[in-house]
Amino acid sequence: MRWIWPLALAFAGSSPLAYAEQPADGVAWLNKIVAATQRLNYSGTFTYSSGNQMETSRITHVVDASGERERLEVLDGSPREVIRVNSEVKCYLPEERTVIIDQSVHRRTFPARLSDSLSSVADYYRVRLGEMSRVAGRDSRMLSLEPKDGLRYGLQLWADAASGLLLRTRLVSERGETIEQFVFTDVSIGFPVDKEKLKPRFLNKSADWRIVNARATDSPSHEGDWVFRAQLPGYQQGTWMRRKLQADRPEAFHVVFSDGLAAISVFIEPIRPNHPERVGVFSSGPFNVYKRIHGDFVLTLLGEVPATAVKLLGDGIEQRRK
Amino acid sequence: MKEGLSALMDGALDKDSAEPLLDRFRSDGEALRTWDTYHLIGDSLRGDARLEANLVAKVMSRLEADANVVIPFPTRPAPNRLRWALPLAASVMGVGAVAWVSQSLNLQVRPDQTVARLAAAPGAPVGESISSPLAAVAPSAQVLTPTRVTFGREYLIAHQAYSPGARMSGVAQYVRTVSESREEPAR
Repeated sequence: MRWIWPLALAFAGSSPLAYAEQPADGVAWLNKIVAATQRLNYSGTFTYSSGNQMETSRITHVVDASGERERLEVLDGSPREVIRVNSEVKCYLPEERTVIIDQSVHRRTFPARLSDSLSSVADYYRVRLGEMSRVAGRDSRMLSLEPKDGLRYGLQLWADAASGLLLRTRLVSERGETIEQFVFTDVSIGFPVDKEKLKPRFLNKSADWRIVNARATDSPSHEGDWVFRAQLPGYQQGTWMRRKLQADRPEAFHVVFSDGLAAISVFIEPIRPNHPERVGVFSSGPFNVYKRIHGDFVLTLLGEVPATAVKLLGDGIEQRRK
Repeated sequence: MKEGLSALMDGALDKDSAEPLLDRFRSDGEALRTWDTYHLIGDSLRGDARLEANLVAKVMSRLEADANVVIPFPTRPAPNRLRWALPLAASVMGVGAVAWVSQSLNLQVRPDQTVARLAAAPGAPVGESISSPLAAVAPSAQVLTPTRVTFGREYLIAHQAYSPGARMSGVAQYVRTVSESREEPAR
């Protein structure tokens, strides 16, 4: 009997309750999630919430010999649709009679290597494997990524235990508030998916819609024109691109900084005459935005990161004197 | 008093020390209940199942009586006997309620935050009162509170393709871009 009390005391009052941190296991799960997203056939309904908004969407993803095809249809409000065929993405916005087209050659290669970027995640986030729980009727493994500094948000992921497909994500602010959530309410994984579900609804109707081509081209030669005096720990710089953000606007430079999970886009555009810019730090949905004027340019920083991060990076940008 | 009870149970008290305690049982219901509970724990740890029916009701009533402290349940399962000895031990030591039911709580509590005092009103959901450890990461003085606006989609879509999150949820991420914002327009 005598052994019980010290034991009970130790159990109630100290640390046997703590679970071990297992960054390696966590990173393995991240890799599993990424692979599952790209390689699995799946179809399901999910809700997306950010701030006080919530929307339900249907998603279908098919992989075959021709590559990846994906269709997302928003079920609430106007029936917006996103179609992806390999690296080309088209967003159909019926209310605005607009199609936004983006094609990215970097989608799979930025940051340089996936495994590299994910293994360094453990340097800037405390990675923990959590309990098993149920999401959309499936057993899922919870993974928690808690930032080690104030330059990125926390992320909680629930992955299907069998396949690794992401069933739920939760982005958590520095105050512990939920910034946004994706949650599957039902999903079928691995079954042959009805190809009808991939058919764009607006393909024929959109013939006379406005087309916004957001395609980018590489522009490494401009890399030396700008200096980033503030280097945010863990954020690696990607390739310089040039892109037209709107048809009637001059080309903008675009460069992305990423720590493997969070990303900050930097846009540098010539000031447009007679077009007043709203400058300062503001937020839009899960994104924080920082706009400022530097010489003849408008700098716009945008990312699903704390406002501090876009502000710090933005204030450190300077044009190199020639 | 509790050390005394524990020693008495182990037969470690001499007659002079034991007598006042035994006297106290006659007048002090609390002491008697503690004594009972100690025995229940001992019995349960030894695997004596005869007392189980009574045990649950007693422990539950105690937990409800003083619910102001939370002990997160271990994420890694402890050996079975100890697993349910934990809430018992906590209750007899006056620690109070134990949130072993709150699975979702586990990852929101720091590993070192074994016992968290809460000022929650009785009946308030215990789990929600514990702040996320994420809240403690950023120096709060540096937290900017930006104005909410609707931002140009052209920027969002350009960013979205390069956001590493897109690798994990594919086109689902584009919902952000096409989302119909009802907030104050920026321009």
